[in-house]
Amino acid sequence: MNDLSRSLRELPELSPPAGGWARLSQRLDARQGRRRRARWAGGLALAASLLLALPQLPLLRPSASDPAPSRAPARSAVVASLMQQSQALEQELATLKSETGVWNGALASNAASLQRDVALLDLQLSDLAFEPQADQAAAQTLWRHRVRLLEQLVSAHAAPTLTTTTAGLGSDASEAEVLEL
Amino acid sequence: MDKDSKAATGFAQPLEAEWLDRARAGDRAAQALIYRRYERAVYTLLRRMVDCADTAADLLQDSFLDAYARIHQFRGESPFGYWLRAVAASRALMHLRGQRRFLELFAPEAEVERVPSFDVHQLDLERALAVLPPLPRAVLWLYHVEGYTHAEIAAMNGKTESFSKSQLARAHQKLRELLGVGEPSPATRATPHTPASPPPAAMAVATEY
Repeated sequence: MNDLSRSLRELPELSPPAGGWARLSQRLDARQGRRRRARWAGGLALAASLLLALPQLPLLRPSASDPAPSRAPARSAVVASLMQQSQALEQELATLKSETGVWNGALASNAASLQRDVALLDLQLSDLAFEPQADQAAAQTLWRHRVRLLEQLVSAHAAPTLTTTTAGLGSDASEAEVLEL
Repeated sequence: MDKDSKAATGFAQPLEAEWLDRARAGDRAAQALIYRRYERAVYTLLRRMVDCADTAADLLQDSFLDAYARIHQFRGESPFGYWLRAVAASRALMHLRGQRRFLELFAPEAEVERVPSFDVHQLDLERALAVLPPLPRAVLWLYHVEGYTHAEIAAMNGKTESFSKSQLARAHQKLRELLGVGEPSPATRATPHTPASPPPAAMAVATEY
């Protein structure tokens, strides 16, 4: 027992089953496909919402309260920072989603609504990316909105009323909604 | 056991920056290279922690999916393998936590009775590990082999240090019973962070994960 650490380390490495990379590659492809479909769905949703909710668009434009960058390089840095924040939040959200299987209907509805808003913003951002003379201030505002929405989504998923997948399969599971993981 | 033996586990293998950058960009060839370089190390860790070949194979897949989804979070403050190890260990612990409703994790008496006719002096460590309850075994491996501290193990479990210590004590007690050895003396008891352990920076990153 005194040499337990050494003895344990001397145990041989174990070989995983063959074909692991092929399986993983397929799952990576599937995930990439889901993301593409989600972008298309977001695009369609935006197109529909533009027809119905044009008056709300000014809300997504730069406002007087948003800091106006003075030089182009500085503006790009701000956008880059917002993009990093957005990516970090996406990862945090993915982690929370993987740990969360069941929650109540109100939270699920709120999260779905926030997710739709994020999809709308994504389409606007992708449109902006194709504009040669893209307005950096507009990009900044859109990315700032995206970060705020993701923060709300993370908060929704981290709400104390959530139960984990395994812990939530009890008697109250019938009253809860099962989310897509 | 020294650094060479740690390298043999595979987590200490270096990863060239170019491959890392390509993997971050979603390059499938780079992702394949990383998988092949570390799959044995990750699988061994998972297999030792969950002691079920099929589950370990599934967790291997999930761990790499997690790692590729979060690879932009790797800041290069420690070798990539140690970061990947933290991802995989967290996956395994999450799995074990999920199983707690269905498994009797802390039933050493029942487990001991599983090998009544066995001569414990001939029982090798491999077989002893196989009959340890899941969570104590996982903590034992993380502490003794991977060099994590109680604080780090507790953080990965979302528990206190006393939780990690109690699980390790259970594992020690069970091993003593199975291997027929006495209480290790404080002076000679194995400690984490031997030369085979990753550098402090790696530990810090593991804790952040």
